[in-house]
Amino acid sequence: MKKVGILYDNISGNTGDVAIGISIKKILTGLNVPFDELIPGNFNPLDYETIIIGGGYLIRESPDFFYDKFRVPGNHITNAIGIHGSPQDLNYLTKYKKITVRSTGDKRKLAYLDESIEVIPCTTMLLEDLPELPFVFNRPCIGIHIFPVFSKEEEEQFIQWIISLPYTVYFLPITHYNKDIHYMRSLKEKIPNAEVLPILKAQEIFTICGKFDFFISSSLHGAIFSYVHNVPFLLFNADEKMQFFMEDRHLDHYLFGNFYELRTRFADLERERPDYSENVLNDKKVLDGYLRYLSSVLPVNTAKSTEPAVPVSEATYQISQLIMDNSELERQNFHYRNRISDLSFHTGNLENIITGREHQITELQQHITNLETVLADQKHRITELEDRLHHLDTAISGSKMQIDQLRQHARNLEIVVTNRDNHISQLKKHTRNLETAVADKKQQIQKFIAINQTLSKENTAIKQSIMYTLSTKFNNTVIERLLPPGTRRRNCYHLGLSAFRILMKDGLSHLIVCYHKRKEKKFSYSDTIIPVERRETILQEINSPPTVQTKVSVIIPTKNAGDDFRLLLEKIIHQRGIKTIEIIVVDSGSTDHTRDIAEKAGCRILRIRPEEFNHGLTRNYGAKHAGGDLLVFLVQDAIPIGEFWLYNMVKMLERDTTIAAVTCRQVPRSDADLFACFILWFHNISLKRTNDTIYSCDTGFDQMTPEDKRISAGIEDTCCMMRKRIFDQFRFKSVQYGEDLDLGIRLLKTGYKTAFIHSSGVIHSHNRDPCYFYRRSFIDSLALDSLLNASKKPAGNTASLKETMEQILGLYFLIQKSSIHSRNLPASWSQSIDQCRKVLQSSEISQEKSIIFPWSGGFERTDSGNSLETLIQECARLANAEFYRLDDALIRAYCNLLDFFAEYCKVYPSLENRDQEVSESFNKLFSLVAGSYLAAYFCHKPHAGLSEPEVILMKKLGEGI
Amino acid sequence: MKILFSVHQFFPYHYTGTERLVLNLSKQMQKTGHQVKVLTYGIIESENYNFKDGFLIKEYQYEGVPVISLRHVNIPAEVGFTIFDDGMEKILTDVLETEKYDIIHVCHPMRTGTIIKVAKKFKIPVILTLTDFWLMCPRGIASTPQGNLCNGSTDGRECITDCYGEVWSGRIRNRFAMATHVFSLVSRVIFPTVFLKSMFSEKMFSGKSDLIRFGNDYRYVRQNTKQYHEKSDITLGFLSSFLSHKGVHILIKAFIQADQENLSLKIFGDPLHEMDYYNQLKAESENHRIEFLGRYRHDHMDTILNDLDIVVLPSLWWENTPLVMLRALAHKVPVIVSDFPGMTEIVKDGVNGFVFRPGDTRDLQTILEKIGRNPALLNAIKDNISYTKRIEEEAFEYECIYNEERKNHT
Repeated sequence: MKKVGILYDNISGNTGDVAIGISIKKILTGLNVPFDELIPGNFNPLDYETIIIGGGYLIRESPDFFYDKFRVPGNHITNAIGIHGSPQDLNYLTKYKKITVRSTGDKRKLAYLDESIEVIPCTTMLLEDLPELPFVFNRPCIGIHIFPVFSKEEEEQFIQWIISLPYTVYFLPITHYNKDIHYMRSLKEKIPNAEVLPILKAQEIFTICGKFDFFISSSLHGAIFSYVHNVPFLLFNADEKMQFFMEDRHLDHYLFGNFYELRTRFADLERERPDYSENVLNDKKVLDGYLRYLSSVLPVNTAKSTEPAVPVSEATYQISQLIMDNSELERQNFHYRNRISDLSFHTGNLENIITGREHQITELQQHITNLETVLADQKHRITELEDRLHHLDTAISGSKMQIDQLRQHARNLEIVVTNRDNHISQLKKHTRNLETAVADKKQQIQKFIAINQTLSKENTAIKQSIMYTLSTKFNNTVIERLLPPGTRRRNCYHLGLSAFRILMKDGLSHLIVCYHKRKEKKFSYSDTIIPVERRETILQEINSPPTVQTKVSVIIPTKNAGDDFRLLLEKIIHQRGIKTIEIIVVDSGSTDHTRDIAEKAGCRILRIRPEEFNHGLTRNYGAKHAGGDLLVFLVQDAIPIGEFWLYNMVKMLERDTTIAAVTCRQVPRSDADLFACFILWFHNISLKRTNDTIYSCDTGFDQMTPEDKRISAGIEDTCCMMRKRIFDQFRFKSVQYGEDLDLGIRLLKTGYKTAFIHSSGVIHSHNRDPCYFYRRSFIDSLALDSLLNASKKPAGNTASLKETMEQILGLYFLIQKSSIHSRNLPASWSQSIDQCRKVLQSSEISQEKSIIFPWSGGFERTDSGNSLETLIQECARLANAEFYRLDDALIRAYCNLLDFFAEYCKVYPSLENRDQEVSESFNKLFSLVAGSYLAAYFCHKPHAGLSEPEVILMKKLGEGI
Repeated sequence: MKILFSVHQFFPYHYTGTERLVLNLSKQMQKTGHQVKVLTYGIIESENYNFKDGFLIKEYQYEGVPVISLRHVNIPAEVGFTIFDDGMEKILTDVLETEKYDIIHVCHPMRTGTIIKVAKKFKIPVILTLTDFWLMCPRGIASTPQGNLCNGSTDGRECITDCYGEVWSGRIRNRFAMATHVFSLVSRVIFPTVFLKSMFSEKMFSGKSDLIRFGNDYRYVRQNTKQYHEKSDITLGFLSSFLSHKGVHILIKAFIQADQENLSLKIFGDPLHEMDYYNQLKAESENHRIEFLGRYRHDHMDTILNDLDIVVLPSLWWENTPLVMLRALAHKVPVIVSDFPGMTEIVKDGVNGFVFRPGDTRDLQTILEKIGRNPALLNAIKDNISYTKRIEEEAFEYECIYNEERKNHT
């Protein structure tokens, strides 16, 4: 257990309190007493045998949020403490070893305790001066510490009075909580002979108080510091603590309460300089006694003296003897100090006389100085005149040089003029040549026009010919129908045509060379490139935006887009760096203000019936009416980021003419919930989207893994830019879902590239319910399978629909069984997720791959608000499910996804009021896994062979996506 | 990516612009999958701290954002003046050793600015966002005690002559040297306005800087769609602290002189320590369709801005893109502002708002009379308001810079 603690106000930072802290630490260090400095309210009192509490104004009437922390019961010591107000509930002090207060007035307040209470002066009197200060003071000088205590009228008089004083005035900030420095700085503005000292440390203030000839203080500790340095001072009577301090030392006639008292009492001080040395001696004697008391009751650190010269008992005896001897010596010392004091007084008188003489000498010296100054001025003037003469000389010589330079310059100009004449004659010659060339070109143009006319005639003749008509018909009816664009057949056809043309033109040998060259081309993707230069944030370029001449058409399918649609359109309209932007809105039956907003923003509006809407065809319709060379497909709630969003995408396309489409990044909205953020994060890491990337595939698309296909073909019509010329060749297909991925695949297969831009993006996210994720996952998995042949169904699983649905029921059962849905979630993410994983991976399940128990056809917890349970129930009934079936593979799939979720959740230190979101997230994870698992069943079944319940199930899950 | 934000004070006790910037950035970074922590200083807090290396330290969370708060045991009076505190280096070294950060983003260098020095030792890139004048002006507002506007200083000479006096010369010069040193230590400097950048002299800072304007949180923005005709009643609003340098007296005087019957004025704001000023203006405003509605809460802004027709910012000091102005523009509420560059970078007179000469009541009065006589002119102004920057965009732009700086450091 620690023995000794010191407790004082080390929070507020007041100069007095800081000084008290320094003094008490100095005392205990001097006594070799080990101690801890305590923070008010932040320690265990039982750890300390003795706590020295104080000094300062620490005991106050209760309740007091801060000062009640100094009321510590126990066997402690108060250190020259001050009592504020009249607290009557300090009986706990009777248990103290010793109660010391700083004044007789404070002692009177504790009379009701009926205890021995000692008055000892503030321990700051034991501080010592710093050896040096960063300032030199002009003498004679007066120190003033003041904050607003006067009326306006008095303040004016006070300022005039200070100006009239024959001293340099130094304003000294002490009580910073009063903002004293601001007030004194405002006074200083009006007082020419004043300086405001900076905010200083406590011991600097202590030392400085000894450097003044007089001090006027509004701070008790300002007064104490002057007093202990024997500097005459006046103290503003702000509080009874000032009164008590001065009364105990019979100095109360040096208190002032207004300006009148200040002025008259200062005159007294000047007239008769008081001497406090005797009082100070008395105070220090009392403090010596206090120190002896502390050394007798506090445990001294004996660890340092490893080899005591005498036994401890002997040492104690010797210390007692020494203390007694010391008392005697101090008594004698006191006597001699009295004597010294008398002599000092006498010396003071003599010094006054000397000062008078010195003053006369100073005046004479001043007179001499003045005369010297006059002399110096005259000399200075002479020097100035000499300087001026010198400058004039220099100027004249400078002018001469300038004339020479001008002459030289004139000669140079003559040469330049001659050169220019030569140059002009050359230019004239060149112009003549150009004119001749232009005439030639005109002749050529005439020839070309004639050739063109001939060719046009030939062209018309060809088009009218039977052969052309037959070829066109053959192409439209046979080639386009049997070999549709984007199919392998069509590619083979084109390949065959190319080969035929090469054969006819360059012969068989060249055809073989071309074949080998083509074979050597390899698949490549993920060429990480340097990001496109972002322009939006560079200050230097802010006034010189780049401009792209290409026209851009932004196509937005809409239906009831809401008020935020206005913001979206504004964002597009205010894009910088693009010369012409056209916005085409394809509206499918909005009943709100969507069309009005679009019209007001100057958009071109195309209308279709709601039942005509199709993700691909609607966009094709918009693109058909677009006049831009570049198309941007954007959804109605994706908000572009920054003013250079379009520009950055255009720049990406400009890097390589074979890039057909660029997709930008999506970031969550500020109101996105936990799972919406996770989904976007997961989407980006799954597709390895951490940099600007270009994807290409020259020949080997079919050799790629489904994951690589997904990554490289993953253009997204949430926001993507395409070259219109290329888009018109391909267009979106009329598929129900995944039209953008389908387009990406066809582009790559044909030799075009796609790109992803990480440093440009749109704000786009949705807070969806678990039911949505179930449907979405089902639909996406079907689409992915058909496009990439990427069914998630574990290999070798040949379960029927009934069994598949029972396995999904089993997973749902387990998730509900784990306590993740209880209201008392663990405190951290990791604990919560571990808890879930523990239930899922319990030994029972891992040993028995397939555990079965009956399903009653409903859920115990089912309530009308839980749409996921309703949906699962409906699916299970359609599939004739009868059991909960625990399937290891499905559970592992869930755990894998859970791991990703846990990885994302590391960004949050704790759950903190997000229980509901976490609980829902576990259900949404279930939805993703279960939806995908169910889709895998359908992927293995031919469409024609679906039973009626299976068709209903598929239709049901496709609703609303 | 792991990001440490440093700011001089933070929620829950402090909630002005810079603190809000840090909170928004932190939350948005978390949403995109980055780990964040906020380092701050407890200037008025004292509860729940522990002793460590001569300092007090505590960790807590605010709205899911983890925070480390430091403070001195005795808060030194010069804590708001000095830039680097050598005593703090040990504990900050410990902070950076405990967790490895990829980026340190200092959003205000006051009190915890020493992290910039310490980060250099760990070779962690530091991004510095300056949201006010403090690095250049210890008073923070770039005006003298007499209320004169200051154009900045190259070496602190003006601070000594106009504000502090010769006794402070050593400290002021040292502070300027430290401020210049700060710029040499950081990888990127970001300003929210071109004007703020222009206030820092080239001698102090001449490197490349970026402009990222403040964003609005559109969760709380509902656009004011009011339209006006020739006889519409118009409510003007003032939303700020009730302090004389905010110029509310200029507005009240101009409003009374304009004397338009269809105009009324609502004044929201906390009188803080200028009660005399408040009471005097309140007395002068009696019988003039002027309401004094006291302090307003941030979460009531949406309702207030849907009720008002114009927001007036009659400031007499260098305003640096006040958030109230940006918020009003997000709500499509026209603003009338004093001609200070921090505001006129965005507000163009007669296009998307109105601008008057600072302190010129006659000029402001003319604008009010014009609006009073023909309120319909506000319709065109509203159409031209297009400040739609969102906090998500702001965070995205910062994230791009973090990524670039990480690449530059590897």
